[in-house]
Amino acid sequence: MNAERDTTPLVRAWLQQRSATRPDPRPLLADVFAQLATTPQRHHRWPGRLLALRIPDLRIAIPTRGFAVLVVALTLGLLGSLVMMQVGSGPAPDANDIGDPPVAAPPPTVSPALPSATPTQTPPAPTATPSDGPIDTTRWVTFSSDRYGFSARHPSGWREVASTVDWTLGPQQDGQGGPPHYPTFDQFLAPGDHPDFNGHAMRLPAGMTKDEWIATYAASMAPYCYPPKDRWEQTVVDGHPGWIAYGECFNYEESIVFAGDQVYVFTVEDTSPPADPRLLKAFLSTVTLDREPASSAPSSSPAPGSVP
Amino acid sequence: MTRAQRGDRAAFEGLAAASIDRLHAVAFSVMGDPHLAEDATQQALINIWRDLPRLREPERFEAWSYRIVVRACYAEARRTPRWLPNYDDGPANEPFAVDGLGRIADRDQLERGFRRLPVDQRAVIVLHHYLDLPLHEVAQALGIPVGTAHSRLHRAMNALRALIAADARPTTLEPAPRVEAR
Repeated sequence: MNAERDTTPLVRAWLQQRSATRPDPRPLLADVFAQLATTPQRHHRWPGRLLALRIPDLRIAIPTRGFAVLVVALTLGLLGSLVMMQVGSGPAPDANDIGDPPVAAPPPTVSPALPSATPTQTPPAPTATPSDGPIDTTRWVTFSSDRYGFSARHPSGWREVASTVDWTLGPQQDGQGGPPHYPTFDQFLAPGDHPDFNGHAMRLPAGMTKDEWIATYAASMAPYCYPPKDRWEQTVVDGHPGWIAYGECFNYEESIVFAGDQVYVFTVEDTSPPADPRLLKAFLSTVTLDREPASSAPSSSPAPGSVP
Repeated sequence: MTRAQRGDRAAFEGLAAASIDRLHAVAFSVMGDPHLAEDATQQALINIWRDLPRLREPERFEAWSYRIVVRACYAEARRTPRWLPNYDDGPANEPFAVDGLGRIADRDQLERGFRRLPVDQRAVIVLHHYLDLPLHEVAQALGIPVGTAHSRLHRAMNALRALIAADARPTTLEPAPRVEAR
């Protein structure tokens, strides 16, 4: 018996039967329509329609007339700047356009030791091209988490959402409404809420080793998506050893870092695969873990964010 | 479509009403849970409204909207990392047969196997085997190369077969044919 030939029609029939039992979705429309008034539409940031020819990968064009040559020359000059800005501030403006290529993400590689960042140091400036080099963090703004005792930088224009409760091991409680948010996260969200960077931390429970903590944490994640530890990438965050785990079905990468008796988890999530691994590394390069977390002396007040 | 792209809410409402059933069908098929499917469908429609002005080729709205609803499924799945579907459409061990094939797996085995697949593998199965989209359209909808879509579908179906085989258990009915786990 040919398993492939036999399974396919079975799956097809099962999907059809299963879908036939689903509830009527039309009552959802009222809620959707109610949100339109508060959901502005997003428009192109540059006049792509003016350009005559498209280069598929770049979505730019080549002019055929004299005046357009000047316009496009200026456009191309600006384009490099725009790309740089977009790499640092979220997905390309046309990321949802059909036919766009997936985000070019370099394969995960063993990360070199990232530079230690202190509150008085300037994060390293990128020197490589925007498509495959590190992301420029020099103009990012600082967020300080009193709850978890870390600071990190994010692109200006990203929205800060501070945690409201301490993080504990186990299932995470989803926030109410809005973008994906857990109340234990200190979170930065790009315009449009994707991608986002979030961080949280806890004191290593008494008597629990780091390996035991990792095993417990990994067990709380969907097992078919969370990579086993032997596929984690080693890294260093603010001088402390850590790992980067690449989610295998959701679009996220996260870093687990131990600093003294504290364990920190920093995550980048996106809605379109693959999440750019450079983004997490850029965030990690701005992280400092040198402050005493408020969670050592539990507090229920939200951690205030600071935007210089 | 053009009016909706220009911000005409009434026009978009008509577009949404015409699209919600097929989008919800995809979300439900991928997520396997009515509540998660509802959330993903609502978010997809809002994202469609938000990004509609950026759709340069309105004739490709359908494929574009599939991409958005699949992305909403990714996001919804991420919101619930310990997701356990509560989908229930009948007796768990009811035999599920296709004429001429015999009983390979019951519906519960298919459900369990399918839900253990990564979301991206579920999506490619749903787009190809439920919507009957050819692979080049699946690739377009998912924003991946055709070769990637082909290999992802191949891996997904192999994984599903393996999961069904691993889940196979004795029942009171006659023994099921063994499914090759590759």
